[in-house]
Amino acid sequence: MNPNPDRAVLRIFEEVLADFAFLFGDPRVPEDLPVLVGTAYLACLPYRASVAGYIAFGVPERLALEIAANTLGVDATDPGVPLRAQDAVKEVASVIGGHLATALERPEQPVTLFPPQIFPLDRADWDRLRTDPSTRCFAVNDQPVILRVGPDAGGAST
Amino acid sequence: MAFSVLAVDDSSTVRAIIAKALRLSGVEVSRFGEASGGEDALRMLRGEGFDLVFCDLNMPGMNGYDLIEAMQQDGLLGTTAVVVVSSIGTPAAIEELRNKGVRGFLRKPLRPETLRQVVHSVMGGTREPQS
Repeated sequence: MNPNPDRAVLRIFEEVLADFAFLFGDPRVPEDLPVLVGTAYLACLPYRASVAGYIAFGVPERLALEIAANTLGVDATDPGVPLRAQDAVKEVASVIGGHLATALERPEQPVTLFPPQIFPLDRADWDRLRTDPSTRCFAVNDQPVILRVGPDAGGAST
Repeated sequence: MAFSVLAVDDSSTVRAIIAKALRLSGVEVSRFGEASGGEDALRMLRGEGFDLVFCDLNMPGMNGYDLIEAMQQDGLLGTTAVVVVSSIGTPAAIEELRNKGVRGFLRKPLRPETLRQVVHSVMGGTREPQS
């Protein structure tokens, strides 16, 4: 996979978020990102192509609940939603990875994806990732979202 | 005609989406089973039998490729219809899976109307979706 597929990453992220969870991302610079309230999750999807790396997708817990509710087509107050929140965030990362691999794979350079994992992010981890130059930031429903594709997940996957 | 369906995906969210998409699409389901990975799926297929399997590819443990290969090597299970449900859609991957006996492909995110078309094409007639 191209290590710097910025344009494809942004397009696919926005399409998947809209199609999968009916949510819309507004690209922001890190300084203009809404402030994280509460805890956050980071879903990391390892890939191997010409280089190995991670697709990392970070969201606040509150947005994870919205993603789960929208994905399942149920109200956010549905008792099943909290049980699916982390799984739904992992699935968004997985679908972004699959679409990216499809868009960027070349016959001579196959892309292998591995199952995603999810990690809790504390405020310090979040701020470090948010301000990392290779992280892309979005506002989604007035909540912050971070996305990065690269050789590491900002240390959060280790 | 009603089909027994097994959804194989490590994501419980996706399994729930498949169940919901089947309901919305008008595909009649006589029995709906869920497996979170290839090993579970193989055990359920051998024990209970299903008409149609919706199978993810990227799963921990026995992944979708391994499950499909194991089904092909098992005489009886080799005739079970498999539809891959994945976000991966490269022509090379699709060709490889077709050669392994996969009959249909559904790209994530899943849509009920697409699911209905694929089930119709793989299994034959389905009733009209409910409005």
